[in-house]
Amino acid sequence: MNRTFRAVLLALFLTAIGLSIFIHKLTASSVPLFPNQAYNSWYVEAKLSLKSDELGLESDNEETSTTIKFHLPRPSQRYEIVKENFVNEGFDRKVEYINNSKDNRIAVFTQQETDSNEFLFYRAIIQRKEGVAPGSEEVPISGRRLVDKQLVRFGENTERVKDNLNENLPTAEINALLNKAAKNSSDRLSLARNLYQIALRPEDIRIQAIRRNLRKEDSTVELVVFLLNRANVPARVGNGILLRSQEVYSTDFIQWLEVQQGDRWLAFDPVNLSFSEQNRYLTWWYGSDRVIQAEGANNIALEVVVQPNTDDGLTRTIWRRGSVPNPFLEYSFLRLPLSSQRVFQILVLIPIGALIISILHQMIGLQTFGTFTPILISLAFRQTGIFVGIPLFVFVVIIGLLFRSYLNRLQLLIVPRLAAILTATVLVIGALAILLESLDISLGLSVSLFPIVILAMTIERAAMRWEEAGPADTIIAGIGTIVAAVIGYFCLINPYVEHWAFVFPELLLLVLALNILVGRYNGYKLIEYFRFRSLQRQLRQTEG
Amino acid sequence: MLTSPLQSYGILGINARNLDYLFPTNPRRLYRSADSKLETKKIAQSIGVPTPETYGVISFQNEVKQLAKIVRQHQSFVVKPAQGSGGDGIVVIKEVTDKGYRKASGSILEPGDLQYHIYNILSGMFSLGGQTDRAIIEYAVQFDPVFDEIAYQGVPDVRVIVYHGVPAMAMLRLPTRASDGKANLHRGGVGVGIDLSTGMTLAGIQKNRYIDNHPETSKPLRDRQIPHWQSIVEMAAKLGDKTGFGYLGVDIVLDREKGPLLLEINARPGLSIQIANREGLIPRLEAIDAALPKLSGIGDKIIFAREKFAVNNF
Repeated sequence: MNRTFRAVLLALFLTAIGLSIFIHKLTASSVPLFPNQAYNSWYVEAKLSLKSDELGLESDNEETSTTIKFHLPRPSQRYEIVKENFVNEGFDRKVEYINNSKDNRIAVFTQQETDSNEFLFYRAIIQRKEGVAPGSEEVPISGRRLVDKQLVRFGENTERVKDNLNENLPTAEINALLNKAAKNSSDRLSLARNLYQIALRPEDIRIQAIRRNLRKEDSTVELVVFLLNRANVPARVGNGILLRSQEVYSTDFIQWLEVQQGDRWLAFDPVNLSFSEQNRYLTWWYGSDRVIQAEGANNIALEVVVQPNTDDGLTRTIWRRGSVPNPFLEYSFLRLPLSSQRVFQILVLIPIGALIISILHQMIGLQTFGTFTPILISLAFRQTGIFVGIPLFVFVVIIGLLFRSYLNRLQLLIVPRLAAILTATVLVIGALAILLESLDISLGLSVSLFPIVILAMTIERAAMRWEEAGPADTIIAGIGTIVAAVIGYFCLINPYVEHWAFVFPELLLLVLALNILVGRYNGYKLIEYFRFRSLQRQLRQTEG
Repeated sequence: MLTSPLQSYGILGINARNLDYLFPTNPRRLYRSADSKLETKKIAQSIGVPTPETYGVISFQNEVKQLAKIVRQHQSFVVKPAQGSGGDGIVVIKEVTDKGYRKASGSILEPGDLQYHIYNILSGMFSLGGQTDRAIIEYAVQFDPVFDEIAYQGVPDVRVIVYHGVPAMAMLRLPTRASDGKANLHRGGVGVGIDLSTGMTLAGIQKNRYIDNHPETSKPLRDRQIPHWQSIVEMAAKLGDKTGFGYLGVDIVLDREKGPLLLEINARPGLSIQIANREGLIPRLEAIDAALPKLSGIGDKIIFAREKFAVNNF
């Protein structure tokens, strides 16, 4: 009793602390209580990772120190840049404007110390302008997504492209295309639209020839801009990113076509084939050059991470001043780089899953493979989705158990046998992924390594269970595992749970308090009502 | 507070068993002596409680070959993991033949199969938490003929719950075909309640359901006298008193010639014993708590238990 009393006291204490920090944050700093409120600002973080490879292509110019030119986003019709900063230790930085600030903005980093930091960060807060309606996120991407093509390709022979432009231009093909497009066009916009549709045909020999010749194999937009410019129509390539309301995510650059009409530039939407002022993307730069140009470095990786501003400017304040008056906010996850925040968003969900498990275990009496394996499976389901996840789970466990029963006959020792089961399972999952891919069915197996590893490790638990407790128990525990994982899954994908756990990590103190209380729960488990049913009936008869 | 019907009958649930009885009265450091059968044997010998004779212990893989040497003198023997639980990993050999080892069920185990089984024991397949283990080779109990009618293969045993050295409840556990010759209720063995004062059997249960007759032999389970009842109760009380466990399950087998022998002690005894006895444990445990200050010595405790926990037959 005494211990229970102390546990309740501790739980109350933790709850009080958690709740007071929570309420304090709510009242003192107007952190939004609910997620998914209309976002009007985003944090954008671009991370450049430098790996200088001494034996690389550029190693013959030893004298040049590393210089990196990086395009910066620009304010547009729709978005303004509220604040930006750089982390460029060991590099000199200056921001250049091309063409009197009307065109691109470029940050030029020059290496000062040879052993300088390998990372450069650019961070900005982007705000949607007042009075601009939130754009639809679901509209298919206009222009083409350049997944990894934007990563710098230093080996590219730009000289040859220039030569081709000057001398070997496939003029006949270009003129043929322009004539064909002009036939059905009344103005420059319809010309651009027709050209775009022609350029999308991959089987057209003329298109193929021009693309090859001008090294514009990857981008339809660049090709169309080139053709329009040949016809003396002012057109340009826009590059930018799409800002969405998802939690922290990694994003790619998207290209679109813009044509000048009067004094305005209109963007082409290839879905409904119309022109309008570009208001979907955050504009990063114009032109068909790459986002990074570098001398003296031959391997640069770029990751752009975006987080919608769910905290109503908290990160902004932290970024801007370096400190905020409220220590609870200053020392929060929001202070971390966005790429680390992605990790913590998942990490803070684990205690909640663990609480669910302890309730299912102590109060319901559910049996599972391993104690906390179901949470890991829930996290795996988060990535695969539940409709892929459950069949995959069942399949993996069955395969593993079949191997187990075969290996059992060979009388292998227990640890090598488990290792053999794991190896076989990984091979089977791999074969399944390849088979389904060749049948054009994507099961989301490619999503990540994480879910597959978790499912494969579940085999160990299942096989051990089979050894220790037999088939009936294994099936019961398997069903229990799925039930627990599904319950966990629905808690963990809940946007409220995600938001509260991440923005108000002090609420995890309440989770801790609840766990302590469950730890002193001496009442009956739900299954015990079934277990003692016949005894209860007997005792009632004796009474009556 | 919410009172459930289970609570009003004083039925002990697993959470309450852990929080109210195991954690406060069973010190963690002692668990090793209950989990390891070798330790248990050592303690039992030191307090004069008889156990089945140990023929040999195999600790390392290279010793497995010595099995034949260890059992040369004996026609029958038992191989069990030192840290096994719930009767897992126990193999009873009735006879050593030319072809191999004949099990209690009659099937023959080739020497290689038995050695593989011992390898599995050593690698920890049957031990709690899967840590490496030792294999004990010991005397195979020739069970008392009183159980001939109601035991199917395997070895029947008596489980006594001892609370602070006072026997609180007892049950006879009988192997069945479903339990694969193991006297483990979880595996489908039969549990039969025992009147603590007389040693007479009460109702039987299998898989939490009441039965009157043994499922294989169809013989009635009720009203059988457990032989050597007084010494069984004494052994249990002694172990509860001397081991330091406040709440303990004591498993005793009855040998035809050697009488009651301690099989193992269990620091986390199960709760089905309540179903077999048609009574909740909580009132008995509370009665013991209340009487404890007045009870001095094992004799007192046994007299208290046999008087207090007598079953009134209707």
